[in-house]
Amino acid sequence: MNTQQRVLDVRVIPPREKHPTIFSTFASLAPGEAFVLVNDHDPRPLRYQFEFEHTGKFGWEYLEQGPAVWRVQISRTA
Amino acid sequence: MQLGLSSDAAPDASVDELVATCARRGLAALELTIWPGLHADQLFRSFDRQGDTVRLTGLLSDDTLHAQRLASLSRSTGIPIILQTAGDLHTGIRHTRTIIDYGGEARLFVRGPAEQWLDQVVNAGLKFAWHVDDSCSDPGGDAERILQRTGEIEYVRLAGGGPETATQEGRGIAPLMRALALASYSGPLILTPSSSKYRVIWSTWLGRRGGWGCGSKAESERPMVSIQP
Repeated sequence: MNTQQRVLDVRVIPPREKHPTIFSTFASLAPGEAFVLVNDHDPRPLRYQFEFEHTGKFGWEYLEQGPAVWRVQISRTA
Repeated sequence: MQLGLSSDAAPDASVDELVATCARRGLAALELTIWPGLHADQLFRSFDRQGDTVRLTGLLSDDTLHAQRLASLSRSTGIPIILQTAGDLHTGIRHTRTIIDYGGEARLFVRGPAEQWLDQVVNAGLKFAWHVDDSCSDPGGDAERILQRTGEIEYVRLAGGGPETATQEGRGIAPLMRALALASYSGPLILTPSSSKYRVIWSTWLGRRGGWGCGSKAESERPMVSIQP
């Protein structure tokens, strides 16, 4: 098992449960840790929510941007 | 984690079509339900191409009569056999071990709550493919129990997902995905229809049928990989 990378693929999570699961996963991270979010569209609204709820405490880096899959590394910075 | 597709989602599709469909949908893994007489070179032909982004992760079979042939197929492809038996757990363990004794790599197909199979399978020293369906009331908790007992999960199948995702609310899929993510699960998560009655919506989701429009959309979606004959 790869112990280096946490991957949360939300494509199989029912729509209303996606954001709570993403924030719950983020809350489990220690500062300096990260996970890779996988989705079938650009999760831009999620980023706005992060900026509102976790201002200055998260990192957001696109690893892949479509056309079928978006991968974003979300890290906990503080 | 590699999200993947079971060929049960499109039983009449060729391997080439399944691979192209996975690539188009951004699915990294493919599990094939195999048929008697399948030869390794047929699989190699389908997966031998440039720019391949889809990996074959398992060969699902319910054949308990030809263990030597399955072992040979597994050896020549390097892909594990996933043995799904109709009998009880003990029978499945015995048949899976037979394939391994013939030199093949095999995993036992197990379904449902971990408490029903985990100890027996682990005590038998077998690898397993965990099939998560409606009989799992707490798949996230089960994942944590499996991880606690074995230290790792190597293969997960999910009945539902794909076009059924929106109907899976409250089934515990979200806690399962969270548990797998936090455990840095890197194996396949194979999507398969929860029932054959959903075959049409799966077919549409996979781009194998047109919608209710003029019918040209599916044809205009060109595969992202080229298949060499």
